[in-house]
Amino acid sequence: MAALTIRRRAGASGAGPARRATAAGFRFGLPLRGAVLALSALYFLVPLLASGRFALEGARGTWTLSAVRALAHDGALWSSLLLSVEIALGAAAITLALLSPTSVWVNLRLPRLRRVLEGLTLVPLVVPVVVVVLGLYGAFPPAFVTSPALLALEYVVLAMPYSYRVIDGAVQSLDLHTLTDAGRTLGGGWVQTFFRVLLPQLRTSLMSAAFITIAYCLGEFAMASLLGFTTFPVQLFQIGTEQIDEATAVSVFALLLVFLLLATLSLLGGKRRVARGSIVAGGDGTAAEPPRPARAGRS
Amino acid sequence: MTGTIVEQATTLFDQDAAGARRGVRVELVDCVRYFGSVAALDHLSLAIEPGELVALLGPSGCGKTTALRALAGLEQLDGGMVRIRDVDVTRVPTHRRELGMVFQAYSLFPSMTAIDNVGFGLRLRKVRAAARRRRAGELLELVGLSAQAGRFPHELSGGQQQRVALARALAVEPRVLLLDEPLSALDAKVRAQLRDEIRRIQLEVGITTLFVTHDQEEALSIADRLGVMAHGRLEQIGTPDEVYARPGNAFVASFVGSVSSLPGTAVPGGMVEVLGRRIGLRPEQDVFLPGSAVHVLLRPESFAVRADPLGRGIVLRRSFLGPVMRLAVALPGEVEVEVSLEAARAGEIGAGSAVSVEPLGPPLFVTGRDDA
Amino acid sequence: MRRTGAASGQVPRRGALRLRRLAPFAGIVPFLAYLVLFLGVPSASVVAAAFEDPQGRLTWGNLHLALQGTYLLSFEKSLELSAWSAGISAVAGTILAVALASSTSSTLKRLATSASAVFANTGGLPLAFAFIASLGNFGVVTRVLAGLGWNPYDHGFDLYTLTGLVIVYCYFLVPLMVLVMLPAVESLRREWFEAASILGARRRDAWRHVGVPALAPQLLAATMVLFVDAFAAYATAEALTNGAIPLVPIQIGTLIQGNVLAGQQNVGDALGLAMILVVAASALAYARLQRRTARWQR
Repeated sequence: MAALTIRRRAGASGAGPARRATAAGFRFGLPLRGAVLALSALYFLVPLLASGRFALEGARGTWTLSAVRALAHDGALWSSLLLSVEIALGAAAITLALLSPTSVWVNLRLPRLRRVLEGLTLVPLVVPVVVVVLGLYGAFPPAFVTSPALLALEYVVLAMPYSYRVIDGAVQSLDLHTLTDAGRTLGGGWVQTFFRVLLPQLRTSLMSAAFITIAYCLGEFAMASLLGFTTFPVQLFQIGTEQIDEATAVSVFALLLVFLLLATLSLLGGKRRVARGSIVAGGDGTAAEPPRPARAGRS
Repeated sequence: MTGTIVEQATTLFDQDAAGARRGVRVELVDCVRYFGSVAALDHLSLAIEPGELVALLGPSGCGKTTALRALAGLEQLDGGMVRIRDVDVTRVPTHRRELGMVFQAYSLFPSMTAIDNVGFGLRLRKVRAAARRRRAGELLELVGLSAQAGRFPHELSGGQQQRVALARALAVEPRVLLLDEPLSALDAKVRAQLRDEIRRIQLEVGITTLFVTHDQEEALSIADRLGVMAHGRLEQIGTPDEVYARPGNAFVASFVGSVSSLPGTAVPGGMVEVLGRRIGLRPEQDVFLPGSAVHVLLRPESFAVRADPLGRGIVLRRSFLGPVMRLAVALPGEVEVEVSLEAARAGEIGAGSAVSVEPLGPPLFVTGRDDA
Repeated sequence: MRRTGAASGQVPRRGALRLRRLAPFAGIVPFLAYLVLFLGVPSASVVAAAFEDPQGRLTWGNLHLALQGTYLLSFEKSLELSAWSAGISAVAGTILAVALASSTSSTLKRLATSASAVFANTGGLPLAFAFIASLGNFGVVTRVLAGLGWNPYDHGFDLYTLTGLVIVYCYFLVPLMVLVMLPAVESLRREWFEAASILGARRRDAWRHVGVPALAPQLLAATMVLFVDAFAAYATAEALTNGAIPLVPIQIGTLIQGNVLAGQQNVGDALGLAMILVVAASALAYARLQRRTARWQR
């Protein structure tokens, strides 16, 4: 699993200015590259476009909004969406409350265990969801298994491989020791330092982690369906068994929503990376006045 | 020690019937290469004689690496020709040119041990495993790394990696050895050591070699002939002492070694007047009408310097270079010169000391001056 | 008197020391407890239940049942499906990563990375519906092809089969592969290629002897993840085939939803245990291979 850690080596491909070389290295020439990219674009875009067409198709190849209109008045769909949103918000809240202190603590006090913890957060990737559901029925009392709260609690675990990575990455990029020393020199305790000094620094990443968790919850089908909750995807499945065009319309809509969400996220991420210097500098600026001695002592 | 290595080298590498070392003639003929609108090679011609080591020296972007890569076939030419052993190889792809090359750094294959790296070329040539290992082992011995044969590149120091790269390049008995700044990523000490070793091995093997560097000391010490490049052109080529002592133009004069440029005036009798003294010119330098204003370029060692309370020079800085002391001296008229004197005689001359500075002829180079 | 004082003073101090050394671990207790409660306990309960009969007695019966008939067939189908999808996606994803790395446009790379992140997370229903809409019996692409005189359904193609599932699974597995392989491909140094070609390697020799071995550790790790991902996937298959193809997750799903024969309540747990074992086995195989391919890494 550890080998999966994405290594970024900027500009490793070519030393110096771009050269028109005969042997271009481990790369494809223009024709092959073009063909591969075109085929990939075809494979990935056609199903999306087809869904759109399918959803808006009337009798004999005309265009119509009837599928969409039918859905707008589907009360069950709306209530399922409400349930999904409630669960998603709950899961996001628990994720932040559980993972951000853990990540800060590990980076500050147990840096040697950082990789171990990272490994632990990846475990949910290898335990099949259906197995977890089986286990829930076996391990917990029926009253608990039928409560939507359980779904939120489990989604925290299932989305953890993604959410923890985002939070931990941001925490690692902070100058934790300086910041906590600063907070404590200013007279705050651990808790105060955490909320007043660290959390503001992590705001963007925490939002990303929350978004990722929410996106996961809004799309998860297996566990919700097997635990018998009519969440949004489950309702969608119901519709799909009867009215495939309506289901496709919703799923196109949902997909677009997730796309937008994730695209915004990756854009945010890109911007943050560019602006990280200034964020860190700003953090230092607010914290830099009193803690000089403490910082000197540390280094 | 040296004897065994020479013996080894003679058995490691073919010799022709006369016993002369291998080595082929290599030529770049009128080579042109553009990057966008910039000429990296501007009608460059260069011939390397069999067994000779030619160093190409120049500032970054002067085209020296492009010349080497064109020779290797890693860079296509927009015009001109590459000839190896009198055969035009301009259209021959890299993998069939039978060359050896050492890169700046990080060129070892990461997934292979040192000995597998060295044996890679032989493996491609379908040499059987046992023979391959034997020869790769011999080459590792040649570069003094037998003990590290089983190590992976990341387990080797920078200097060791470059030794392995050298052994790898030589293992296939290439016709020409190309060295692309092979020492520039190393520490100063390792650099000097490996430089001497590369030269030793090159002489033993007798292979025609092109060595590209931006380090003049390196180029001066290792080369049979030294070519100085600028803007894709060869400014001058000659033995290191020729280039150092008789630069063909002001660029070469100021690029190789340190020089000071002083305003002077041509005077009759094949002389120039500089710093109030007349010094003689070499015949080929005597091309200026008497009275014309010139720049006179002088090496630090072409000055007589002594402590002199009435001297007009003030020492700005001094740097100790072992046998000699290098001084930066400010002279009237906002002229600064670099001079050197034996460290033993430098005595109490320090920053702020007054000194007298006298030029000793003939100058390194003289150019015309319009500003007077 | 004095001695006892010293001794009694020492005991709590030593205790305090140990406490202090353990104190940092207190900070991760909530996290560990959460993971154990909501992942560890359910998993353990599946393992335990796999060896129990409905009366709670120890038995091999569940496992025995789980490894025959339809259940055995479902394992075969599941393994076939995940092996094909992981294999195809690994190759296609790597090729796509190389194509992207070859592009000089950084905009295209950024766009592709973001898109991959999105597509890799596009499992489940929308994906199934999108493929039904395009390649289903009445899908848009099917109709276009039929209009051109070549209806894929007349030529042996069927979306609701294993082949169809492989095509659909690749949709989220290929992007996952791209995400992992792009940085790896970009870290392949030009010098390696050039050194190889000077030593006499043709393009394919350089790839075979230098490029692929250098990518191998990442390639293997990613392929393993792809395999496990495909093996465990439930939603897409359920939505696409409505349980028509017996896959292990679908079988377990059916059992959970109450379609259980008397006396076989715990067969699902046995299937779950077998799934865990398959995942563990592939992780083990991966570790084994990794030791060989990544020998040269630190």
